[in-house]
Amino acid sequence: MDVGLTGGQFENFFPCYLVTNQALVVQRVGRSITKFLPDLLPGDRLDKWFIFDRPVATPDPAALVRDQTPVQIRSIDGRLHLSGCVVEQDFGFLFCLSHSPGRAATWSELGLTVDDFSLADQSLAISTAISLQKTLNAELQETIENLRTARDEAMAASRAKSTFLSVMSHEIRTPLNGILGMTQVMIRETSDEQTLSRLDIVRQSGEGLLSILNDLLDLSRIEAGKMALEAIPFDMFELLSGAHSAFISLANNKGLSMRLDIEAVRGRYIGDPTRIRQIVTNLLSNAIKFTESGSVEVSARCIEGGLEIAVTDTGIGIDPAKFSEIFGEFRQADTSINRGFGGTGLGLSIARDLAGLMGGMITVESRPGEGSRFTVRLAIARKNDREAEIDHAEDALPAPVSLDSLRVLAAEDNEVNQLVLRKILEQFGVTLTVVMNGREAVDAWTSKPWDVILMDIQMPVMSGVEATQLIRKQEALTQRPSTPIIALTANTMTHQLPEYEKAGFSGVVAKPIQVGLLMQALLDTIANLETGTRA
Amino acid sequence: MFGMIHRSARTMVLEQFGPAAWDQILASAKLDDGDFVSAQSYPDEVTFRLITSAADTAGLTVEQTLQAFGHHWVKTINTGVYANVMAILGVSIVDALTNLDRMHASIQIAMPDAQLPQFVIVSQDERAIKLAYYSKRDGLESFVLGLLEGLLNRYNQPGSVAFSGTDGEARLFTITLAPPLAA
Repeated sequence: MDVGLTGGQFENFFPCYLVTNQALVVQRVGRSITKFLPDLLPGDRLDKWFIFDRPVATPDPAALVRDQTPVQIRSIDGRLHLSGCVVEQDFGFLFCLSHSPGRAATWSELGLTVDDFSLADQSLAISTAISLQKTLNAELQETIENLRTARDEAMAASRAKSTFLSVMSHEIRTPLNGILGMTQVMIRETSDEQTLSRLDIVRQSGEGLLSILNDLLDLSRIEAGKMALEAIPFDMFELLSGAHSAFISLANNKGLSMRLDIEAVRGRYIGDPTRIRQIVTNLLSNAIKFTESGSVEVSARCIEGGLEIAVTDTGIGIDPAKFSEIFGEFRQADTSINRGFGGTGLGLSIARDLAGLMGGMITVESRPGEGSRFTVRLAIARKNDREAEIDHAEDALPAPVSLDSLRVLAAEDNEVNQLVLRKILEQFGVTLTVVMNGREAVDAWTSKPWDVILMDIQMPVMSGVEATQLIRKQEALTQRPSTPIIALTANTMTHQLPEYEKAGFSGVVAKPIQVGLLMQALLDTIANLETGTRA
Repeated sequence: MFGMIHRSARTMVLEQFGPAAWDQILASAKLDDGDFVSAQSYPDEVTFRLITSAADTAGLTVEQTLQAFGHHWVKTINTGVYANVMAILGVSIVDALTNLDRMHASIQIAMPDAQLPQFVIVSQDERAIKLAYYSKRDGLESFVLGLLEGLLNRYNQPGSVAFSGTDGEARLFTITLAPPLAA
């Protein structure tokens, strides 16, 4: 088919055409080239105005036609980039060219308009598509920025929530210390059965509240990335049987049988026993809570790279569709559960996070009505026998020592806490000297010797940390023997412990004060005094 | 319509009335998400709900809102990322109107699912250009009117635009140039 076109029609299809002879001397020029290179005239050699990007070989018009070689040329001033092919006509070699779409980004700078593009080829559409693509990329970038901002804001809000929880937990702990401390004192002083049973309810309620506070504090630590784990040797069998025993009476009250199958994991391990106990205790507490009849079992076995602890019950079970939900914070499989069974819904979430921090995981198998089995896998190492023996030797408790003559100074600004401390220590025959802040503690220490100082951390005038640092500095200067200083604080986040140690504290006892722990700390201190290994 | 239209509408509302107004418009249009994606197609019904709600919020008629949006749309495409596409319209209002249809045709190839309008110059002299507008959508004449006024502004061409009725499928606009173009 031979097609005849008028010059105008042809130019609409190829606004950038060129006609040359075999020697590449220009004969005619299309309007879009003239627009940008008005001085290019018939008779000029093509290479006066253009260089060939393709072909790479020296261009020969006859060969370009014969081989249908793609042609790409650029103007020597760098503005025009044209591409197309060459056909032979009786008037010469016709270069059918368009503005190269690859250069679309610079088209608007150059001043190309719709007229410069062929009606027949798609170079204009390609240019438009490339421009729109740029738009979309910019938009995507903007969206990414917006998401980033939203993420940062959400994280800041989450941090604020963690801080709030932490501050609130701390604020609630102080009065709770008064309640629990005084209750413990009163229980020891009372023999009336009715009063004792009422006080026991106060104590249990206080401890329940404390456990909720501890959950909240753990949650905020985990979320803030401040949950540090210990790596110390401990006896896994003791840990698991201890956790198991703690629930026997509760299980018996419900008529449940408790089973224990943990022989396979006897031995010493390196890890964080407190947190492992917390996980197991949590699973046991849930198991008993949700089991009305039958049994609850703790079993454990060694697996490759660690061990596996399972808590299995014959309770109400969980719909598999709810598995992912039960590990969520403040979530229980059914919101009505909270009303029926109580609990914050934080326990499993914390247990899962703790297991994760220990390089492990918790899985659940269950069916409604058929009980549940929660399995904890922990990447935890067992110690060899020789190391274990040495540990046992270290564990030996100091011999009981009389506290009667102990000279104890306490720095505590809160009057309730002062009274609690005083009463607890009185029951052990210790007469306490109390000062109101760190400054007064330093003064009291300067004026006479003490066997031990109990130091609150947050106090007006001078904090416990500052006071301790001052005392340690003075001791170093005057070569006075070191006085044991025990921190009494609700701030017992693991990351704060090194700070206390660095300040020169000999030990830490958490508030609300548990009588047993406080007395153990005092006994340890005295044992150290007597063996001459003062802190 | 494609999200680029909605995004432009959002910019207009944010510029003129602030973020609270935009939230109110989204709420009264029952749209959850104001983050439109330029290259995504949204049902026309969404667009009209947005426009109607914007009109309510601004205390304007839908026609007035569409016309104002036409002006804003020219601003949108004349600046920033669309400038490269806009540049190919040429350097004068006559160039722009002549090339308007080919520009839309080229966008149609780049975005095959877009339902873009067609523009044809019916007649033209030094005083006035009569432009036929074809669209598969109804009710957007005020938008086209605002858009053509926006183009007059864009090319610094004094003049006015009037809707001058229909002719079959064509909806006709007369762009009067004052003073007339130099011969």
